[in-house]
Amino acid sequence: MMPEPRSALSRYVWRMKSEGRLVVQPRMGFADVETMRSGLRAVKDLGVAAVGTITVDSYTRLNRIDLADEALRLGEPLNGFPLVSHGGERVREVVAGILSPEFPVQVRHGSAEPFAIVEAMLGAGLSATEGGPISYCLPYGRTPFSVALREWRRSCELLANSETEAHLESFGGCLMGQLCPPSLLVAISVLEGLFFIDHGIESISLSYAQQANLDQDVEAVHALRRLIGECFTGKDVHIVLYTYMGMYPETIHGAVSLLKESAHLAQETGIERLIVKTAAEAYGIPTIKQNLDALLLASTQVGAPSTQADRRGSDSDIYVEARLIVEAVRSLSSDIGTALQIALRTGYLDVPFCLHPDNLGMSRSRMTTDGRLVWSDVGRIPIENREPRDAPLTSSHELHEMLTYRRRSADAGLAMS
Amino acid sequence: MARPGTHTGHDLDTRPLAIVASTVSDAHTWNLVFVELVVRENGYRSLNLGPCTPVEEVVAACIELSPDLVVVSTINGLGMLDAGHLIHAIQAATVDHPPVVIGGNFGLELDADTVRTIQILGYSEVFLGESAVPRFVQYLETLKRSRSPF
Repeated sequence: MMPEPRSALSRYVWRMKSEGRLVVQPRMGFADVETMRSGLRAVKDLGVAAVGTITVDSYTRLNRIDLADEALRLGEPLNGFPLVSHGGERVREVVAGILSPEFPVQVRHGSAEPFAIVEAMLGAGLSATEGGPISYCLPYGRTPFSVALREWRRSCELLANSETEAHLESFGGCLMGQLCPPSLLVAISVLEGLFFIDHGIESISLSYAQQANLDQDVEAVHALRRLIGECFTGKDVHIVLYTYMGMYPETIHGAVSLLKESAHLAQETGIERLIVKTAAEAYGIPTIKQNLDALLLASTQVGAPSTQADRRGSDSDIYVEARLIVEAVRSLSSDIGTALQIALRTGYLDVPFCLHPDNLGMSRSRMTTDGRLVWSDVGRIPIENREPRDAPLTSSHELHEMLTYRRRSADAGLAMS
Repeated sequence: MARPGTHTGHDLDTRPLAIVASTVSDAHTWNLVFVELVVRENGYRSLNLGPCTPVEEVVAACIELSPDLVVVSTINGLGMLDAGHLIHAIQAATVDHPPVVIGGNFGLELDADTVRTIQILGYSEVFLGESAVPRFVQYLETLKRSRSPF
């Protein structure tokens, strides 16, 4: 039963789903207007069901517009599109004749303080973006959570009050990119989605990042889907999958197998949209061509996405844990933003290995021999601690093995394709 | 609130103290988590300042905590620019600062000239390439022994 779409992006996604087509999307950002435009055009003209992406550079992400301005002026390289520096007029030039109901464009930025980015994109007629107060604060820097919360509230309100129908995607399914047990990823995606809805956003998507064990990932996506049904009844919510966000395979066959597995995972679980990784991932910023190759591969890999997404309705461990976490956090305050703040302080939410000063840092995860992520210490997260309290701490060797597991197994040809 | 692995300030703890930091523009975290584990496995206490480390925070840690070692790990490719800033700030703020070493432990490789340039800036050692971790461990051991009279 498809919901009523409330944004251009979701309207497109749901239409594609009804036609049995998985929507694929790249990560892409180039400094100059012409290259950014030709990248978007190339994706649009590829002939697959796709959403275009404008990824901003790291200076813009860090709100150092002055540094982005200077780099632009001096012709120095930037690792993304300086949306704020270019300004509304030039950004409109980038998407003129490209942005359409058949080709939505999303701005990706990674920023803990996205207000200027949101303002600039709205000024250029763009209305789809992503992130979240936790997912873009904790993993990537040291902006205090109270600041990220305040800035994300402002940004959501700006989007909600704009004349366009905004779409916001939560990055909660990714966080540090790897080694987070899926129940926490699912819970944070749901919580950020609730935050967005609470601030007036009417069209959202919740993410999940492919991890190191396909069965576990299938279980996680089903848990996410089930929680969406329970927490967002009647709302416009779809699921976006990220192809593996950790240390990527170094061989072409390894990279391809991982991408194919993510497309297979999307098909198996009825996921609506997939953000791909290219074969260049281990080496640097992909070219337009590398992105097109990845989009084509992911798109042609699948048949019709399964529409029976709720088949696995039973209480999987991931579902039970994720739900416990979501309920515990929601019980901390009637205001979801405040609840998130208290949750971080008390450790109800505690991202393993995350060094952010506002992350408690007591929880730890480990990986089984077949790549499943399990809790070695739940810290103060209100779920069952199945490991003995005196389990040895992660060693540097073990950490390195976990971080490189997918890369090594895919490069060795052991990943499922 | 103290986190596992953070400096505890215990008076009787005679283990050497290592500060782990990155550069101001580097948001990567896994390298810092890894480096801190290596440091602790080799008999040091540690304080991990996390990614996107402000220069002032590294300097303040040097002044207030008198660490035995500062380890800078950066893997975002902008290391040279930010690394220069950092070591100069430490040198400017302290009369006598601990050895400051730098590296990236995920297969980054640079040539001898670049290594020399980094050392001339003021870094005691540079750990890059495939032998980086074993050499770093060796360095930790040597430093620890040179510090203790026993």
